Amino acid sequence: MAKSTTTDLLRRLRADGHIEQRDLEAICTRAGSTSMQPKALWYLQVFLLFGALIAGILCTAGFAAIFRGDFTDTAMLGFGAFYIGVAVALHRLTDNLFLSHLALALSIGGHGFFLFGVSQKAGHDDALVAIFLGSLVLCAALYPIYRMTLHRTASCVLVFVLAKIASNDPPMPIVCHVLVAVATATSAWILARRRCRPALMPLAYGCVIGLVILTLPISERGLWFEEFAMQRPWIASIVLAVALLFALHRAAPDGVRTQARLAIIVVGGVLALAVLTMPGILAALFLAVLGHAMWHPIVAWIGLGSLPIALWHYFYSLDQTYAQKSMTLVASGVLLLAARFVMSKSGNTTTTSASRGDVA
Amino acid sequence: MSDTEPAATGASESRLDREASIGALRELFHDGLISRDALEAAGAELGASLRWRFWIDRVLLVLGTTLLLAGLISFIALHWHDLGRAIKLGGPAILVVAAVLSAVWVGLDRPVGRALLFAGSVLVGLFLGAFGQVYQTGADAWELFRAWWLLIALWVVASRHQEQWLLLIALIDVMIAMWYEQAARPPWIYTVWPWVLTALLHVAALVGLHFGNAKRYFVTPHAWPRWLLVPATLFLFVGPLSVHVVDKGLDGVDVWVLFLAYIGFLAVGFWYCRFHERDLFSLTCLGFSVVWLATCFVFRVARVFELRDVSMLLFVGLIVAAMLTGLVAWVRRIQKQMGSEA
Repeated sequence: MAKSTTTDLLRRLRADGHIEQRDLEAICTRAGSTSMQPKALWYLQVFLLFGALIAGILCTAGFAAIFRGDFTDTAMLGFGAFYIGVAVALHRLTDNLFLSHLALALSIGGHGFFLFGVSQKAGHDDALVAIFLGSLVLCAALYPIYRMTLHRTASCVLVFVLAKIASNDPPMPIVCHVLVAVATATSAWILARRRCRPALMPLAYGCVIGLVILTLPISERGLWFEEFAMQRPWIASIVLAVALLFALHRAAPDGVRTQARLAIIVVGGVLALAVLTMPGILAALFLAVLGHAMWHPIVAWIGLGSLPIALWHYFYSLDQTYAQKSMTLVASGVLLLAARFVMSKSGNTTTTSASRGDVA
Repeated sequence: MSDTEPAATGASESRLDREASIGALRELFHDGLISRDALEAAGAELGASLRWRFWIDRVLLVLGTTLLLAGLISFIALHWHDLGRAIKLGGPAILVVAAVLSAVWVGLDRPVGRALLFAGSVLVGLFLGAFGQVYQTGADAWELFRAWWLLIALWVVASRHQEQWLLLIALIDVMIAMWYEQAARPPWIYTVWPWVLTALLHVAALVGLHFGNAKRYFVTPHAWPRWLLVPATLFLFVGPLSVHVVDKGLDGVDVWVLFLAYIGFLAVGFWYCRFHERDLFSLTCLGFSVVWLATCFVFRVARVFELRDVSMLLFVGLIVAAMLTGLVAWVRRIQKQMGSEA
């Protein structure tokens, strides 16, 4: 069979009415203009952020040392705002790659100065909450004007990281649950849209990573299961169970979606997960299913990557004897393998109608 | 069709006139140019309709096997004192034999067979641990890992699967690290030779991966083990070099050997990943390792010339930003070249 090109496929999709005329024209225009602009590579972004972090810390420390580190809190706030202002100006006014990277480093340094100034101004007792609110203000203010995916994503993630730290000391469960709900709803809303909006994608990625940070036992010292205990986890579990059901509903093929018996099994399974396990497991499954079904493989991988940690945390913190724990582990493994066996035996009838949610 | 024809409008030949793939369509979807309905219709046309099922199948298999293994291992470990000697040794041994025989019976090319054989390889470690506890031989832990990889080596070779080989390499890595900690005597403990040794092992693994894929030794040729092995190898080169460069510079024969081996790895790795495999991820890792090591050299120079001035930090920060710019520009150029070569 002759290999068909993307052009041929687009033409067929247009003939079948899946693509509108203006979309096709936009694709032609964009493809022509961006033929010299290669696709952004996620790993290059990770390296870039890491390098910018080092450069930002060094530049900031250098500047601070020039002034002998003798800053008042107001001066720190002003200096941070100035740094960020320079970063935004550099980013918006030049196309130079070096200046763009320098801007990223300056913005990181500026965030550091600004948030440190905020914490100094707020005083010891309110420092963490003030830093969180400061990062939220910076994120909201910079998102529309600093139009760089990496900056936007990192800025959103920073908000969630600081929120988690602030809500743990002293424990403020409601804040944590509200943030889980916000992150879940925002990521679901953006990722499940019929048409992607590139400007919103960094917010979605930020919320996805934020959700993982909020629900997993991650603290500023790494993975510390003993230190992390979400207060009233059932609230987050309910939110995430609803979100998981939504993701499963969107992912299910048309033929499968209408099967009442299967729907009852799925709803029962999700409810059992919500009652018996932890929000982290539900969050990981929600992200894995949503990312896979909505054609966002990075989100699916984030979900799958966080699942083992969530499971580990769950079994670690089970209120059972070691014997019961090991038996629960074995039983869970057997259950999953049995589910796979059943699926493989009854598979051929459902796959033929599977046209939705089939993700490369 | 009177609609605008993508090719006729002079739109990018390179992007739209390549063979249709779900990745290309997904890119258009992420750019907001086509709707999800169109992407799903394209997915159905390109035969991606079984992927969803495949995905669930693999997740259930991997997760189920992992939980089952974790449960069995913790059961034996936690009931150690309650179990008789026969169960302590016989239990893991029976599990190993059962897993390996079942894998052979099911078929090593099937996912279940692969999972069973992998479980067998892991359970060998459990058996050796139990053996060491029952017969207190006084052996060091590194000897357990030596016995472990030696015992599974035969079926790893026979399995012809990458994940089995990666487990074997990981066991050898741990063995070397433990040997260094528990058994190395002077002058070894003052050198970086174990790092050199481990790095060379990884290089050999990369060479083996290449020939295994090329000569159809592996059942299914895959590139993904390279995406684990290249960063791991670079870490083994750059980790000790960074410490030595900042602290003492390139001082000593072993450090020089490591440095030259690293340079050799860079040169061959660049040629291989750029012209042979066209692997942009590995090239980016190679480039970033150079940026990292160059930063260490800059710190060393500042130290040698006693540049204690605070502006030195600012200076190094700017250099790091400049090197990052160079890395990004280099990777993008290669990405473009690869795109036009495709």
